[in-house]
This record gives sequence, structure tokens and C-alpha cells, in this order.
Amino acid sequence: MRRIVFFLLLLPILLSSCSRNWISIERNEQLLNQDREIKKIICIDPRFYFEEDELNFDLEKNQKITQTVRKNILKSSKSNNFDLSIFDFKENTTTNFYNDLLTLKKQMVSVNFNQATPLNFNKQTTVGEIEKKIFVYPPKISFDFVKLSEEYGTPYFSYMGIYAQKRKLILYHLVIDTDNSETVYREFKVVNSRVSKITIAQMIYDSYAMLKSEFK
Amino acid sequence: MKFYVLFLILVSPLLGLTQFEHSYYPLAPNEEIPKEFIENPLIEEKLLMAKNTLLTNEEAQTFYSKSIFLKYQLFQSGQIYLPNKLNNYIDSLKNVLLKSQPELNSKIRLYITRFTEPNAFCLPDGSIFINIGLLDKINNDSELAFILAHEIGHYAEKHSIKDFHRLSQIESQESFKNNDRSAFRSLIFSRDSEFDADSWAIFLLQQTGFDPNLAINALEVLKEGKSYSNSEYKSQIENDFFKIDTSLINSPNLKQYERNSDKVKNIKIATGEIEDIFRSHPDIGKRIEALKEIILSMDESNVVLSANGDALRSTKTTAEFEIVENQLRNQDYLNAFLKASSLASEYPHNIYLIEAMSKSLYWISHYKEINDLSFFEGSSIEDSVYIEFYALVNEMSLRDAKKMVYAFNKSNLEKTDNPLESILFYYAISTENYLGKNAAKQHYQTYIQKFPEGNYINLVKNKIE
Repeated sequence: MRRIVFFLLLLPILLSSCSRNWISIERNEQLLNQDREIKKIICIDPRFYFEEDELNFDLEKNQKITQTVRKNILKSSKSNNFDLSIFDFKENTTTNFYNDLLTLKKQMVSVNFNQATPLNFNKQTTVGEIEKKIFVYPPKISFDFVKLSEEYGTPYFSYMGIYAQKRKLILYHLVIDTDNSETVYREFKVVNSRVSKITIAQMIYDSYAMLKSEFK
Repeated sequence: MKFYVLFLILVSPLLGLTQFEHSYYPLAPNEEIPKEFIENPLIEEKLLMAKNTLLTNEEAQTFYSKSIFLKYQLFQSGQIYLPNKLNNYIDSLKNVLLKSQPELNSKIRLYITRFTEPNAFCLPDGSIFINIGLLDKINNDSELAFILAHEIGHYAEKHSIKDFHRLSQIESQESFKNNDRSAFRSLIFSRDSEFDADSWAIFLLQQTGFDPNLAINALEVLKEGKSYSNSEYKSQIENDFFKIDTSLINSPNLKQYERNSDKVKNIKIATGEIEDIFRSHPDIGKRIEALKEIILSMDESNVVLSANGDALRSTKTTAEFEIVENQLRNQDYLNAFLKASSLASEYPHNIYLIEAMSKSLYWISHYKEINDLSFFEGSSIEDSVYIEFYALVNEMSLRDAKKMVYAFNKSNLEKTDNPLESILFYYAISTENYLGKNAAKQHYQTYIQKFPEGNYINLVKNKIE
């Protein structure tokens, strides 16, 4: 009886926290094709930005959590059988990284905002939902990056960023196929929670699990 | 031998510019990434806080955290050029300006950004960022020297630190915080600092042999922003296969676009219709007035004429090409096409420009296809030629837009028996858009035969499959 009462008390709390979060996942039609399965990914310079409020900006905290994000990306991708390498300022200070990959990162982020055609982007996403869609017009990057797949051994390049406010975490995950110059996966997730290592780890793990599940 | 040396001396400045005749290779130096780009920001934060004498510990923590974070965001965004030949030119100007102030000179570091707006800005640690868009607009050394001196003035006078301290002190006396009040206060402080930095710069210019009168031109450059002097783009698009339907850019249409554009806002700012109270910088007209007053009160100085003329010309032309490159990188395709076609009137055989125009037109038609041309409406609309071109693209049908891209690439292909890789690629892809996959197939196959190791080979193979 005690257990039931405890469960009934806990249930509304659990449900209320669920209902405030939402995920939007958009995919490219090509992900339905087994031949184009994503195995190896180059993750470019993942970022974390936490701003408690305008006057309280903690550089040290930002630096620490960025490292947590980095570790979790490596761990979660491995758990989901992706061969993922991170290219960022921590380990890669080559001019190729600076001139090519950072340009690609900027472009993949900006085209996904710029080419937000109403056919793809549903601004009326309601809270507490998981939305899954196939792109009508996949956001396209320029053709200048086609050659990169030979250099890095894969056409799949990704970017993951987390923006945090006091009680809200927003995750943005993009995967681009440079051979076709198209976005193949775009995830936008809002979780109403305080910044904690556990929440961040869960968000990142879920994201790679979602990406993997697209092939099942 | 003497004749040969004399010939080289006379011709060398011209050689610098002939490099732009046939092609252009965007600046992507293979130099090492500078140390300061990858240093741990926390160490720098601690160093700056240790040197701080003006701010309280709490203020310093907030102030330096944010400004250092901003600097590292910039360094690690890929939007700052790695050291290249343009840096040599601006560094040489800085060294002339601060010749008699070596300590200050050692603290100032100059960086060139890929931003195409004509502007420059300074961070509290002495890092000064100069936009590539500014290097395109300057006409002589004194103009750029004034803008550099202005930014150095902000650092030397510690404007941002003093303003932050003043703001924090005032706010600590208030019983509750109000963001609007804080914002207006910081705008007032910022406007005052601009006048201070202007006068600081004009005196430095006079002391170091630059022409203070040209400072006024520098401010005019900032006021003008982007502008295209004429409609060269029409001659690039029009050919035997595609004619511009001028009824699409008739005056009622243009008026509609002008009404929607930011130009109206810019005119309001220029004519003072927008109140000073909402500005971070004072009206440029007022700054020019103030500068004229200061110059009148100054003694006549020994103005040294530009000794850097060739370096300036080469810098300016490189900057013009780099603007096209950065507009392409930022998907600012309308501006990229207009800028490239304006440069192409000077360098008609430049392959880089033809490729840039081809890319821009392809992507403009793509944005039209996904019904998202509004992306180009943003703050770029400042100029009558831009509005006219935007109106033309907006009013023409999608079919005509595809025809325009196809016709442009076809005419480029017909000009040569041995087409370059990019010209063939864009011809094939625009054929697919306009005439369909089957018509494009043979062009893709030609590409594979001619360029089996080409830059676009993976994409072309996917297209055929």
C-alpha cells in the first residue's frame, strides 16, 4: 500500500517534468537507405554555453562543462557503435582544422537556420512531444566540402552544442553528408532542468541513441 | 644590368596587381595557429584580474570573464584570419602610430576578421579587430590610421573598464535592478567614449605625420556601408539565351521593396530621425562636426604623404576579393554576386570571379526554389542596386531563375574549348535544374572523364547513380 501511495505521489511530479520537454528530429530521406548508414562521424568543435544571468557569467564553469560534454559525446557515440572522432582546439591545431572544418561547422549551423523553409520547420511544436519528420528540402551546404570525405575517411560531419540557462537546457545536434552536401539529421531538444552532469550525459546519450535507431 | 634593375623597380608595383588578372586564391595561410588562439582563457582571466586596479574583485570577475570569453569565441570561430600579408600592412601602420609609445605598442594586437561590414572594434585587453570590409573601403593610409588610433584610444583610456565600473557603482546604490535603465546608461557612456576616442585619435594622427583632415573621410566610410556604384550585374546575366525582363524591376515594384527594406531605417538614422538616446554610437554627422572643430584648433603639422601606396592598393584589392569569398561562405549570395560582377568589370578574365558568380546564381535559384528568399532581405538591403537585383530575383518565376543560371554557365562554357573543372560542374548542375536529370547526365559523364580526381567527383558520381 505504501508503495502505491508513494508511486501516486511521485507520478504527477514525473509527468509534469516530462510534459515540459520536447524534441524535434528531422531526417534526410537517404537515412532510410541502408547503404548510406552512418558509421564514422567527425564531430567538429562541440560547444557548451551556460549563462545564469547577464551579470553572473562563470568562465571556469563553462570550461569545465564543455569538457564534460566532450567526454560524454565520445562515450555515448561509442556505446551506440559510432566510430566518432572529435576535432576541436583541445587536440587539433592544424590549419586544415582551422581553415576547413571550422568553416564547415559555421556553414552547417547557418544553413540550418537560413534554410528554415516552412515546409521543414514547424514552429508550432507543442510542449511534451517528440516530433519526427523527413525533410522536404534538406538544408544544403555549399559544394566546396565534397572533397573532405577523402581526407577524413567519412562524408559524415557533425556538430553538437548545448546552451543552458538557469532552468533550461537546449541541445542542437546536426549531421551533414558532405558527399551530397545535405543535412541528414537535425535534432533540437529542450529539457527543463538545471545544469547537471547527469542531465547532460542523458541528453547526449539519447541523441546518439536516436540517431542509431533511425536505421533499425 | 642597371637597366634591368631599374625596370624591376618600375614594374614591381604593377606585378603586385597583375596577380588578380587571371585568378585569385583566397587567403588560407598554412601558418601555425597563433598561441593566443588556443591558450587557456582561465589563465588570461587570472592575469588580467591580478593587474586590475580600478574594479572591485566582484566587478573584475564578471567583466573579464565575459570579455575573455567573447575573445575566445571569436578566435575559435574561424572568423579571424590567420596571420597573412594583410596583417603586415596594418601592423606597419600601428608601428608608425605608436613609435614613441613602445609600451602601449607592445600591448596592442591587431587581428583581421572575415566580417564584411566596414567596421573595427577593440576588446579591453588591447586586442583590436579590423573587419575585412573596412580594408576594402579605405582610400589612404591616414583613413585607416585614424580608425586604428580611435580603437587604440578606447584601450589607452580604458573606456570599457571605466564605463563598467561607473555602471556597477550606480547600480549598487539602487534598491532594485532595472535592465532598461542599465541599458540606457551604458548607451550614454558609450556615446561619450566615442567622442573621447575620436579626439584622442586625431591628436595621435597629427603627432605621427598622418593627415588629420582625412579622418573625416574615414567616418564617411563607416557611414556609407556597402554600396554598388552601378548595375554591372545586368551585363553578366544578360546574354543570347537570357534577357532581363525590365518590367520585373519597374518602379512600383522597387518602391514596394524599398519600403520593406532596412534602407528606410538607415535613412532615418542618417537624417537624425532616430533619437540619439537609442544609439550606442553618436550620429556620425555629429562626430564629423566635432572633429572639424578640433582640427581647426590644431596647429598646422608637417603632413607626411603616404609612403605605403602600393601596399595599400594590394591590400585593398585583396580585401575586395576576400569580401566575395566571405559573402559566399556566409551564404550572402546576392551581395556576393553583385560584388563579384562589379570586380569582374575590372578583371573580366578572372576565373575566381566567374566561379563566384556561378555559385552565387546557383544558390540564389536554390533559395528561390525552397521559397526562402526572405533570408536575403535582412540588413544587407542598403543600396539601390541591391534592391533592384533583389526585386528582379523575387519577381521572376522559378523557371526563369533556373534559366538565368543555366544561361550564365552555358555562355561561360562556350567561351572556352578546355573548360575548368568548376565551370563544367556548375554547367552540369544547372542543366539538371533547368532541363532535367537526363539532359545533365552527359555533362556529369564528361566531368568524370575529364576530372576523375576532381573536387566534386563524389557528388557527381552520386548524381549519376
